[in-house]
Amino acid sequence: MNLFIQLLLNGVVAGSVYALVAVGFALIFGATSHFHIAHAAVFSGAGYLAVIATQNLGLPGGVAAAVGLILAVLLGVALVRFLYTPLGRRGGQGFVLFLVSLGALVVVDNLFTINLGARPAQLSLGGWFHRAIPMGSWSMTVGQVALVAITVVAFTALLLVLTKTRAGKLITAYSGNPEFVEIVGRRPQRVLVLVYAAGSLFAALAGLYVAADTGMQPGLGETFFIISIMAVFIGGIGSVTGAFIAAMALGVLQNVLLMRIDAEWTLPVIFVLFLVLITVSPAGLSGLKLTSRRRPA
Amino acid sequence: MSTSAPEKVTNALLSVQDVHADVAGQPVLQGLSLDVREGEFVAVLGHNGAGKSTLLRALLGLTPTKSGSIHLRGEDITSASTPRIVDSGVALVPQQRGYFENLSVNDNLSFGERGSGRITRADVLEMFPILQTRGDQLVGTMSGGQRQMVAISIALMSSPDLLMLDEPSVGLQPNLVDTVMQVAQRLNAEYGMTVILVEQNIEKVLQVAKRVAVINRGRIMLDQPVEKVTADEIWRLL
Ligand SMILES: Nc1ncnc2c1ncn2[C@@H]1O[C@H](COP(=O)(O)OP(=O)(O)OP(=O)(O)O)[C@@H](O)[C@H]1O
Ligand SMILES: [Mg+2]
Repeated sequence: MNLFIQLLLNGVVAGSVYALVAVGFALIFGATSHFHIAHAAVFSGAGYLAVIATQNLGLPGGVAAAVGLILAVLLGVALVRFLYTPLGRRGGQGFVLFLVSLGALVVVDNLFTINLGARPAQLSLGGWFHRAIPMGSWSMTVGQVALVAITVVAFTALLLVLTKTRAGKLITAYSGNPEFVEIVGRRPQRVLVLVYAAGSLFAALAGLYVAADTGMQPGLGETFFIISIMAVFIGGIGSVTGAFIAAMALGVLQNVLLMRIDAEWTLPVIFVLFLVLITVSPAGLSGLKLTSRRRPA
Repeated sequence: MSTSAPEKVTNALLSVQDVHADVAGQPVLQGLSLDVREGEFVAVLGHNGAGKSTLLRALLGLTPTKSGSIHLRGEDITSASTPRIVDSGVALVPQQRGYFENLSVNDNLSFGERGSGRITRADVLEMFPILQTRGDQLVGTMSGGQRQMVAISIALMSSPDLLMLDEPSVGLQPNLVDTVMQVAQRLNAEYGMTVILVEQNIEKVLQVAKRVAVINRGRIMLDQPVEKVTADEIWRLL
């Protein structure tokens, strides 16, 4: 039982990282249908840039983290502003946009690896980050608790913004009918910037945590991205809540599976389960749920 | 009702000169010219695929033109962006999905809001009373007719000087068709709004419009005051 609860806690921590990446991607993909794989570069970029800010500029950890966060958000915004939008204007979409995004990911990843080497780039936020909080027979570090708290707060804030504010409703409007946003005189470019900034902020938070926890490494962005994509599909495309719940569930499942199978097998098992689910219900779990109230015409 | 609408008010509110535009690589508008004066009610007719929607979309800057010019109040808007054209007082009720399904009626109306505020939410709700009790309903859960009323309401919320309606009555039950036609007529007569109405229903058009323009193969084939044309004449041109 003790082991189970500890694995559950570990699962919520892992799930929080997945959720941050997944919610950001769900927001972007739901609103724009861009298969923005360079989201992985925003994730790793946040970590790498923060490390560069401490190592090369000598900034304190917290300030460096803020710098990494801001630069990573700017990277996401720059990708849509200077790459996807001009491409879309020339008729490029779908697979072409995916390829361009993949290219951007490879370039950004390599730039960091060239500069920092393939060793884990560790972001030092101070001793508090790894300090264990005594919780009886279980334990969590301060960093882990902070991650879970930030994830929950950021997600709740996003939901509030989406449903209660003018900007959030504009995003909802755009995701359903982008052309009509123009017809009512709004500039779609602004919506895109808003969506990418918010989505990138989520990925960047995850990247900072990973850089401070285990260190950022080449390929890590892609790994987290793939798991998050699964969560986005399971949660139902376009649903940030679905992505959040599915990502948490994946994190918990992956850790709880450790009671029965070895660590190197948990991901393959999750992949197989994912394939089974997608075969049964291509629309993810939302495909299994009943549609909401419909007024008789 | 007969607010002595003067015939020759001012010079053209909208002036379309020899416009060419392609859709999906195919020529659609092929030298189309049309002048619309302030306060006019022009019906645009034409068979399926004639280019009616393309004309309205080009006027709003949604479909780029290849050549020719479009002027609004004498100002060249040929390659202006859609938001800019909307800001200068043009509103379009598109042929399809002129609303946000995933937002409530109230939120939809708010997105239309801009401009002088000459037409208020109360005015709009008075024209379409059925929307009064449905402010919080998601538009996606409404019937086709109700959605069309939302679409027209959104356009009206911007108090446009020029209102363009793209087949607003298609698929509506007969009494709703009449409601829509009456609203269009009233906006023109009472608010002095300039209206361009694309329609299939020739008989209805002849009852409400002041002028009829027929498009065929991307050009204007006939352009006359309603008194001077008959339904038969129009049929022959379609
Ligand atoms: N998305 C599209 N892809 C390819 N061709 C299109 C598209 N939209 C319109 N067209 C073509 O452009 C031409 C003009 O279309 P347009 O919509 O302007 O016609 P319309 O007069 O509005 O017809 P309708 O009465 O059917 O609405 C048609 O030949 C149509 O087939
Ligand atoms: Mg049409």
